[in-house]
Amino acid sequence: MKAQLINVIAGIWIIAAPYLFGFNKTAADVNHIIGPLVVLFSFIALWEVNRSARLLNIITGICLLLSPWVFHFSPPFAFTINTATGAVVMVCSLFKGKINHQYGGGWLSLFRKSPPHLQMTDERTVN
Amino acid sequence: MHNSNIPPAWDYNPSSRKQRNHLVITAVAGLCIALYLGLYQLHIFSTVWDPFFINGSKEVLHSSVAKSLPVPDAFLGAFAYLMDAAGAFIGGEHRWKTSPWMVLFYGMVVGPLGMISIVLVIVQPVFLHAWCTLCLCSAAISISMISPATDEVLATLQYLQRVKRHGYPVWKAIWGDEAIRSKVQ
Repeated sequence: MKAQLINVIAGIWIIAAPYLFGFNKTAADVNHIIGPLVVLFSFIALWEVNRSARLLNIITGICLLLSPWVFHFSPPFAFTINTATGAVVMVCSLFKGKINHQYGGGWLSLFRKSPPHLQMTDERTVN
Repeated sequence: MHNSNIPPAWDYNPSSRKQRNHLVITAVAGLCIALYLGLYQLHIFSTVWDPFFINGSKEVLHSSVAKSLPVPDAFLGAFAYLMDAAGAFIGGEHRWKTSPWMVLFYGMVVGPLGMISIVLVIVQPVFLHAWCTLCLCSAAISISMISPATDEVLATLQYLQRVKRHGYPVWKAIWGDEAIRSKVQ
């Protein structure tokens, strides 16, 4: 959960950075599109049941990391900010953190042959 | 024991009042903000509260994007919040199983509302070059409702999965068929 909190802050930082350091318009637009998505995914992932939403930030992290190579970024400091924050977002999205509650097998259960919630009801029926 | 409201292989009931009450309050807060912004868009209020972006709110709320629909866009948000509040409030503590349609409908309002909010947050700086504090508050409220609401949707989908695996008609179960409910936990 701490890793996802870091990503929420990283997302807000990415949105604020163009104003703080006077990014050019293209660079600012990139940050203003990716930043809210980073916040969205990590915020949703703060809750255990949707912790998997953090994995979407691997994609946004890579986009951030690569953005200065694809688009024209100025000042030079903008390059550093986006690559560094992109790396942080990517790494933090890999940490699952503790899961304290049970959710019948979670979202993946819907695609499994024998998820925990079905096993449990089948046992009850046999007994 | 089998009549418990806690879904199988869960350790709490996602449909309990305790889980849903704060969502009602959050949705009503969102509703109030959206109504206020909508009334400003209709020029019923001549100014709008914004402590951070002096002209930002004005530019965003009277922009071409905000006026692209026949009604002010804030009123659409208000309508969605109203649905959210009703969706979180109505139904008993076992509605994940007794009224799957209600839970699914609720999920279909909360999810897209959050997504649209994020799109609007992106539109503000990229196309309008302005920010609006209360619009951001409204977006924060709508994305904060997504996760607390989706656990119930998951419980319902798992129930429907059990219904299907046991060979009962899912369509009937969605409307809360009692015969199916008595056989599938």
